[in-house]
Amino acid sequence: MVTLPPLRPAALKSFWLVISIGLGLLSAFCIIRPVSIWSFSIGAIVAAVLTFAGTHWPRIVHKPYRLYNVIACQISRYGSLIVMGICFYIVLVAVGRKESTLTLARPLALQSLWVSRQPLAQDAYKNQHPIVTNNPPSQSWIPAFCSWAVRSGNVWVCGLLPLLVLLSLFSDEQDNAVPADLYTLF
Amino acid sequence: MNLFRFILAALAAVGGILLAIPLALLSFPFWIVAYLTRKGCRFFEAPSVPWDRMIEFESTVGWKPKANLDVYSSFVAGVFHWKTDAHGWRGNSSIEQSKVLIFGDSYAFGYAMDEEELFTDQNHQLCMKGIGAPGYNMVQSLLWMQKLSPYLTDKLVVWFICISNDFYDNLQLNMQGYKSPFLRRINGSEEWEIVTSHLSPMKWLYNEDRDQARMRKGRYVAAFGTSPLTERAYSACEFLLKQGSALCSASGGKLVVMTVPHMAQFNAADWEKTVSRFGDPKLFNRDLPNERIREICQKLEVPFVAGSSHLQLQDYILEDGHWNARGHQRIAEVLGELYSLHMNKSGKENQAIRVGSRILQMSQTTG
Repeated sequence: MVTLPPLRPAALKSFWLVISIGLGLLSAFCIIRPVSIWSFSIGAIVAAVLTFAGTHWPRIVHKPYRLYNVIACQISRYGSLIVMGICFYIVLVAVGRKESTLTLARPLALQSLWVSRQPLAQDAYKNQHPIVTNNPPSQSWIPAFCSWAVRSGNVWVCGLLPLLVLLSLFSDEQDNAVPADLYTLF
Repeated sequence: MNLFRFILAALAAVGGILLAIPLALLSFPFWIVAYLTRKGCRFFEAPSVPWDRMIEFESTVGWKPKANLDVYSSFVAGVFHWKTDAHGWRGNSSIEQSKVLIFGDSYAFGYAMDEEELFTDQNHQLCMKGIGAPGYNMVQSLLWMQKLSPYLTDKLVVWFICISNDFYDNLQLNMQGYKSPFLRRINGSEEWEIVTSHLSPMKWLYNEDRDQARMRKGRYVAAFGTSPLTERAYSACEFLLKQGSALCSASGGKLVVMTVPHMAQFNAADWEKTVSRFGDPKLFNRDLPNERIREICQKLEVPFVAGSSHLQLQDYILEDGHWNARGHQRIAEVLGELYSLHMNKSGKENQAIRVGSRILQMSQTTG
């Protein structure tokens, strides 16, 4: 995500510390030439002053935090649109030139295409897809995605992986509207 | 053929990535700052424990907070610190010591508020205890009243009704997968019965995404709408309030019902924006819950307090919907006023209790 977490004291402090260190490094490398021990000292002073100011006057952090998030939201919104556009209008259009692997079953006379349902065991409801990966549960979706692509015979979708990773960086879970639903029980 | 498809996809992906490079370079600094900010939050707030480690199965009400906890929980706007006593309830006072018992859901529990600012501990002259847990409906509150009926004698019993979800949740057999007691009509008649036979530690399996969407709409229709669901919901609520009133009377306690408003009700524009997600805003009446509950309470001769008369939007955590520190302070004052109004104490004690919160200064009156 490119957006910041919801506004709360810990997030404000963390954000301001990151910005202070970032501006200190910028001062050290960009403003003072050539880069030397003096430039790093100046950078450290800049970072320390900003951190002190943010710690003692936390109100000064609110506006930059909100402004930053507004810009990040716009980048997230338009970035995800552009990446999805690239996926749909370039990659999928190109792949679509090759005919589909979908084969239709043509029934013989009086033949039924009915397939009886195989009930799942209760434990299997955690994963109802017929293609089960043997990957242990992990936080990253990439190994599961690649495993599914190989097992289902759709290796070509791995070409979308860099774009899907970029799309995940633009995901924004924040909703600024009044929450319609209240509970955060579980 | 698959190899050809793979090559085609790879070539197209390379072209797509080249187009996306400027975008990636532009957004990279923002991603780095956001990532480091999230990681840095861990140094400025305590690590939180997942909810499923803080609640336990309870055979008659579905779940309750575990006893003797001292933990931090995360929620959408941060982390809050909470503790429970030997019975699993928050607050410094015991049930026996408390003169006011508050039954309800996450509002009675004090969700999103640290121990030091919990509403039950704001008034040093009046011991109060919240009997509630996140996710509870009114059926569970009534069941706890039944279990704790020996302790209701000479106490003020305040029943919080959460307007945004209680009316609908009273009719549901699960809360986000956790099986909960609910109300059901008896053989299609107008009478209601409480159902607990399905309760077990096993999760209620359902299509979560579809159920969440249906649940959100159902809650608003039940509370504010004009459909048969609304009538069922209020009929069920009346049954529960009647049971609660009879129980408190039999136990020697004094019941007061208080509605807890939803944030969206405070502002007309927010209200219209919220309900328009579920249909024509004209079909939703923002004041319906207070009107209907007031009617029911008048019929049952139970005092009723509309929470919206005492609370404002500034009393809520906007990102979350529960009360903030100011809201907890306000609720403590309201409960103090209710106690002095309904429990017929002497004038001196009444005044002490009414202004006994930490912020307000006490004024001593003579005899």
